Amino acid sequence: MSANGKPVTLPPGAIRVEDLVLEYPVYRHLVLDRFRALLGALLPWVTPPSRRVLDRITLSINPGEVVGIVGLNGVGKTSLLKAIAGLMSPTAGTVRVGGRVMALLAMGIGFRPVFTGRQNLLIGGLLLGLDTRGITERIQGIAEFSELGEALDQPYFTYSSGMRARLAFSLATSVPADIVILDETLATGDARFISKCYRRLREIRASGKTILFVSHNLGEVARVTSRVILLDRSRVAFDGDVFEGLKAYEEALAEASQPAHAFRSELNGAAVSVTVRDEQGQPLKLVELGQRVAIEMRIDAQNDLGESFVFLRIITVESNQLYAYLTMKRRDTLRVVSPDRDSVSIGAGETTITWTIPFWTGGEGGYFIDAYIGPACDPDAPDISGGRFWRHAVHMSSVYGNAYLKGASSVTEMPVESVNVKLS
Amino acid sequence: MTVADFNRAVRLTVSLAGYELLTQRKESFLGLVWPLLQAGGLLLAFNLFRGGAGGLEIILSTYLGVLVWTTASTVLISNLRILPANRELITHIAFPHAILSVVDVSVKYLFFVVQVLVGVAVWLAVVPNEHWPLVLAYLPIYLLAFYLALLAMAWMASIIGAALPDLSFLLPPVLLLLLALSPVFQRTSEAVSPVVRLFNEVNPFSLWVDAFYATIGIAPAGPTAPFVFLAAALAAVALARVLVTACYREITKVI
Repeated sequence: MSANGKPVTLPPGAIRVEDLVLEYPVYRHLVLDRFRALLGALLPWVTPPSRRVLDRITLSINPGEVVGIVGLNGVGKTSLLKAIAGLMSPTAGTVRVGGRVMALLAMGIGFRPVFTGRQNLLIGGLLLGLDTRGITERIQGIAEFSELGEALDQPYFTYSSGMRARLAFSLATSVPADIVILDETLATGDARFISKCYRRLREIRASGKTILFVSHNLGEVARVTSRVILLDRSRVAFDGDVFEGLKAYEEALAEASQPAHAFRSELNGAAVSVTVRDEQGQPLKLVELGQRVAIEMRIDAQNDLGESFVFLRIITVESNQLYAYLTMKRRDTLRVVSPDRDSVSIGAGETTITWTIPFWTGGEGGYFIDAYIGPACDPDAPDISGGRFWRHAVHMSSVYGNAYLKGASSVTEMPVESVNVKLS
Repeated sequence: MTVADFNRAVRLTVSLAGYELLTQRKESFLGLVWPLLQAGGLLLAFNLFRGGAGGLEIILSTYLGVLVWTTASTVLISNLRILPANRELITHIAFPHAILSVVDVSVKYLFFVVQVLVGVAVWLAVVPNEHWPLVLAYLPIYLLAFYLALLAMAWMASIIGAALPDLSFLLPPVLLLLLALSPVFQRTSEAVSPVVRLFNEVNPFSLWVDAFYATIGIAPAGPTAPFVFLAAALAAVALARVLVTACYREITKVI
């Protein structure tokens, strides 16, 4: 509110959420509780039991920001998007948006099976707020982007799921909007179209629109967003830098994962962190092509961990591996550089392992550096062999550290000059 | 609601109703010819079952009464299910949800108007009526009132149907039974028991049929009938709008 008491109009693309509370009915008997919920909308004294999905959320998003919203399942990410999109009315608090909102929460909603793709573009466009003229003006561009060709004049029910996704995404991102909301919608279509979707998103971002983006794919979030909001137990647990936000999310995942205890107890409270440094030893978050960098894995152990297994890898956000170090002689598919030892002896105190990379070969894009230590074990143990094990290990164990770098993208093997272990 | 919102709602309604008609046309060989065929078929059926001594007047009046009744009942039944049937749309796209009922009513109403105009034209052509200019003057008032009444009922039905889904199973046979007991088939009130008579006097469908008969000069309710009906329909629409505005705020959380 302004000083004179009138509501302040937000600039296009701005979002202000203040003390937002959203509650859903609790269902013990579906029909009866739904009846009570609707009755409660009419009669204030009827208060059906409810559960809180968003608890006093306060956010301020400025025009042009690209914000990733992350969190475990059921913490209220989609509900927050729906409240911002105007699909849900708050139980308490306020949601204000500046300009027009385009929410792409699911693909192809409102499309009719018997209509052609072209006719469905008209219906979909109308539902998304365009008028007939606006749709007609854009239809050529949408047709070209979707690459459906002659199929655009065939009935929608003949389309494959990929074609449907292309049609829906092309339409949704052609609607002029100041705020674009995307909920896990890019995980459809083939790899080439997904890549095209990212290009379209970059164009939207470059045009100064505000983008809200929900995904469980951290690579997507890292690649697209400039700020991360972590929701945890219906509240904002973190709001800020992308890397820090994703790290906080990883920690939330670790906390939520149950099978971690074995590793945690065996490693007795050891902690791992990763720092990437330049030649002068200064920490880096942005790396240049060809830059000389040092990756420092620091292990702080309260007790002697003994012979331990150490793993470090550099992957792109698409999970392409550029480098992996593993202190075990392995026979399987994981490409291992410098398997010069079976284990590292880690005593109490601080242990630093440094990988020196003389020439950063990665191109534009984001990278994760995953680090892991665990008790030395049989390299032929069957549960070591799958990639899934690593991701689980990451989530399960508190002895996990990672670094996120923004740089330039290619999938070239990363040269490593040396690996040094320094015990404190 | 701003002027822009209203314009969008009107555009959306007209377009979606158009696409609804297009869907019906696409999904059958004869498409939009069906309303006329249905009108002709019903007239023929009534001629077979109620013709003879009763004459064309009875056939036509029964046909027109059935049109009013069946239009109202199909609107009621379809709107009881309209919110769950459009769950995906409601929970994923921000648009005025009240439009769903408006579109449904508009499409069904359009078919009704085509059929009723055919029926009234035949009625005026074959049944002598010295007040035919008045019939033509009052008919648009009745048609407007009927549209508003259908809309009010559709909005309320959408909420009631979401809250009490069993009604969509219960009502179709009940409405069929009520049609048999309604003024459409029981033209003289002495033909039915006092209980049914009383029910007909409060049953909106029967009242709408009565108002229609009065409009075209079949029933002796007088020339004020369409005006009274219009006033009542306006009040009902206003009340229904208030109710759906309150309930639709919660609807995305409960369907």
